[in-house]
Amino acid sequence: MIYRGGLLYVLIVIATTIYSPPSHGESTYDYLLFPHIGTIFRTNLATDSLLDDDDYKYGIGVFATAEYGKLLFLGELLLNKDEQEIERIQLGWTVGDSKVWLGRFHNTVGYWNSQFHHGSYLETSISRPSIVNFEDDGGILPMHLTGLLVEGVKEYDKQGLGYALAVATGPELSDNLEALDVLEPASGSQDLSLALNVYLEPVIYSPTRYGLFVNYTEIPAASRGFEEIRQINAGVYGNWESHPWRLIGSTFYVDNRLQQLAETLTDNFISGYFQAEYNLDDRWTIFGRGEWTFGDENDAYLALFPHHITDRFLGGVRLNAFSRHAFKLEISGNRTQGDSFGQIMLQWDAMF
Amino acid sequence: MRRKAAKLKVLLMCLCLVCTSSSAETTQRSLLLVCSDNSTIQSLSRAEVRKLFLGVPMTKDKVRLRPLLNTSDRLATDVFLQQIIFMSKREYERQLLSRVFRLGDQRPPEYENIDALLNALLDTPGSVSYMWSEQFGHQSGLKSLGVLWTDSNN
Repeated sequence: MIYRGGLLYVLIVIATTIYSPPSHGESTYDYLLFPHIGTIFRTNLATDSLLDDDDYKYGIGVFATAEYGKLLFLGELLLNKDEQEIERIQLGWTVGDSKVWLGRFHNTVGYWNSQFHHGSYLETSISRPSIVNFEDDGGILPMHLTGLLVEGVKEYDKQGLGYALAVATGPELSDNLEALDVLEPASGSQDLSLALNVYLEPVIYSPTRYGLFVNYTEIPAASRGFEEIRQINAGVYGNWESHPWRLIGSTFYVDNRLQQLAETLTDNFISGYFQAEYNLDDRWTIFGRGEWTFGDENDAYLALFPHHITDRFLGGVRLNAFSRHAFKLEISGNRTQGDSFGQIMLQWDAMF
Repeated sequence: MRRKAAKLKVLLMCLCLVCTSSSAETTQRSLLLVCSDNSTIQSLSRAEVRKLFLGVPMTKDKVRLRPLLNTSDRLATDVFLQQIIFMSKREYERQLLSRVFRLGDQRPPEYENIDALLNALLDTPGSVSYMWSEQFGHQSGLKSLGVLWTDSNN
């Protein structure tokens, strides 16, 4: 079931064909801009490390959404120092309390990836937990899928039971995981990915949420010497908020079957993170996060991602200033499979 | 003479009490849920109002409801967010942004000017907002869908 391109366009054509315009031509739209400028300083890097002692980054995320009757559109474009990419482009319909989307979207695994996307202003911290790093940043799990997504939330006695189900194509593994490029859909070789996220909101539409997720992906990896990698990742997560506290945590069990011509390597590990945030007042927030991985020693899959941070402890502070500007400082100790180093990050984020 | 003075005192106190209570009645402040007089919307529960202003798409009697945030009066906004949405302004904004960014919904437009809000209420089918009772009393073309909150201190 190798993806050969054109699926997105076929789906969009089908969608526009079966769609009938609403009787009341009501249209609305919204857009957001997320500029950021940041710098990174690293200490105690191994002499053979490919990471730089210092680095900088800048860019802007452009997000737009539009609604015309029951027809929906959502797009997210990222323009930064190292890449310019359409991160999300979705065409959807509202069906009761649910939404049906076609296009490229963020994988529904865990909490972080489907909450903050590329809007770093929305994240209290500067960095993402490494287990949910984006593919372009050396991420080890599929973070972008292309295909069908159905999501919604049902009310039961003032509680919300939400779900998100994806039937899509996942990434290919070359230098990094490579999700489908919607501008050049035939350029890669993506395969099947199925994802399910089910969650409970104790008070519907409130931020506190607890959930379960599972994701199965077939990852073509010919350029890395494998016919295919069959990956299952599953876990639990929670986001609890009660002013002035916010706690976010998630645990992932990741199982990989790396298929070569002669043999199949099977490995698995458990990874997780826990972040605590405390609002000192409306402007200042302090935060800390721990990330850990068990069973990563000599893991055949993780060996393909030498820069993946398996363990990290960080602390930081965020200052909300002016209107929708944030200045963040983050200090961390990091461990990869072959290195341990310290890191200081400074970043300005804004939203317009 | 003393009896007369005592009676007069009681009478004065009663008069004061009557005056105070009638004054409280006339200045009692309520936050009202309002929409255009021409709207087909008859009522919305508090839960529906919360859902609507949190950005959840809602349709009632085949009309898509459009929430309009009245930010012309800071106290009205604070009371609305605390009593109906159960969030601070900052939490509300974050929750809205999260929803828009995640699900592609739209944020309710904000109106800092009461006249602009009134025009939007009259011009936008399905639009709903909130305002103080004294603001509502001066406007024509609007109807109240109910009292969201009453200032019990007055």
